[in-house]
Amino acid sequence: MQEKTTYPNPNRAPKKFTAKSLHGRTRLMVVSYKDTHRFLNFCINVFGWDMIETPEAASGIPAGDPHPGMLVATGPAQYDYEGVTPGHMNLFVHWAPGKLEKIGPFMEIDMDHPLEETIKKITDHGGKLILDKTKSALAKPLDDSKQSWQPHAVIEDPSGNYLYLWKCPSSRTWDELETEYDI
Amino acid sequence: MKKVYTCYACGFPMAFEETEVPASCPGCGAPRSQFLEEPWLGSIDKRRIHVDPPKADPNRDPFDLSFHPAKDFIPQKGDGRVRRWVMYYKKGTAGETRSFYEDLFGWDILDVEGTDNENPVMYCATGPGTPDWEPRVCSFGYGFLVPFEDNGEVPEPSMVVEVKNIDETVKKALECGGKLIREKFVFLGDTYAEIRDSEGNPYYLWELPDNVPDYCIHGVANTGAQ
Repeated sequence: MQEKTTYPNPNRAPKKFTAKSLHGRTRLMVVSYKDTHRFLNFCINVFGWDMIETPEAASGIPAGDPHPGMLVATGPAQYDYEGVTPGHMNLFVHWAPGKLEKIGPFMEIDMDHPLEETIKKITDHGGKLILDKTKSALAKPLDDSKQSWQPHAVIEDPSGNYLYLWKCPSSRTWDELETEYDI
Repeated sequence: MKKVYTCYACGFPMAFEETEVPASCPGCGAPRSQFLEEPWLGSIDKRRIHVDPPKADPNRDPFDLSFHPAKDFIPQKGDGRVRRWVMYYKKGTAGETRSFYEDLFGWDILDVEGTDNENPVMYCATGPGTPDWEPRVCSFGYGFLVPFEDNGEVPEPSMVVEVKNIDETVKKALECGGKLIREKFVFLGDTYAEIRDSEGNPYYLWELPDNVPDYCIHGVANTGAQ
């Protein structure tokens, strides 16, 4: 049997995403943990996931920290733990110093516009910029001055969901498998 | 001057101005001293340095978090894949919610048949898809926006994990410190259950016993480094 889908016979196909941009794609899922070994044991023995320590460039945490960030493959992955086959999301995991982080999408935003401009559009539509680290360990003030693989902003949507936004550095070559778009 | 830098440790190629080169590889964390560099000739395709990524070791310790290529997932036949995200919206705000995500992020949103017309479950395409609404490109996903009664408590967002057998997965989850939140139930003709992991994170389990991902039939063509 082929891949099971949610809508095997929809009335229409999704729209074409023709922009040379990954703006809005929900790339990974953000998940947090309290106990490293206990969490790994669950991921490995229940779901069969595979993981590496998130490089410092993407986590801000030095290698070897007792509470590492993790990139978790839930299906086939590229060498840098991006997914390699369509249809599944990998995880961006971090340690929760307080209560667990709200699960939410690690969502890419426009890499060709200033971060502040993108965030302003979102707040003008009713989103809120989260700066309180007790609400999200990933919360931080806006800083568009550095190339970074870390999340750039945590946004609360009008219903209370958290979106972890990331602006890709200019190093993207558009040769990466995940950068394909509709023509 | 812009150059192409290829990490010798993992094979990750990147293009940077010399002044903006990161101190360590964003793919594997190897130090800058591990980068091989060459001139930028206008396209990453024109680079001449190609590094083979290390091969996966099936005997490695799965608890070892040091950099390694991800394991071969073909034998799992899709078991354990995170297929969807689930977020919630307040009942009575379907229009505003749709506008927030369509206008700001360019999503395409479909009302799920058979759900409340006023407060539908919404299925969201966040990037290129197939005619039957599956992501067509790797490394991103689709998800659901589900209505909730706004009584001050916002439901916890979650994600949907494909499994071959819910009973077996729940048994393993309980053995590893997880909890069963909701027994098996049927939605859109498929069987689901809800669990929490050892830390308290919520997950939906989606039972797809006969599902075989395309990559199990045709193999994984490449890992990106080529």
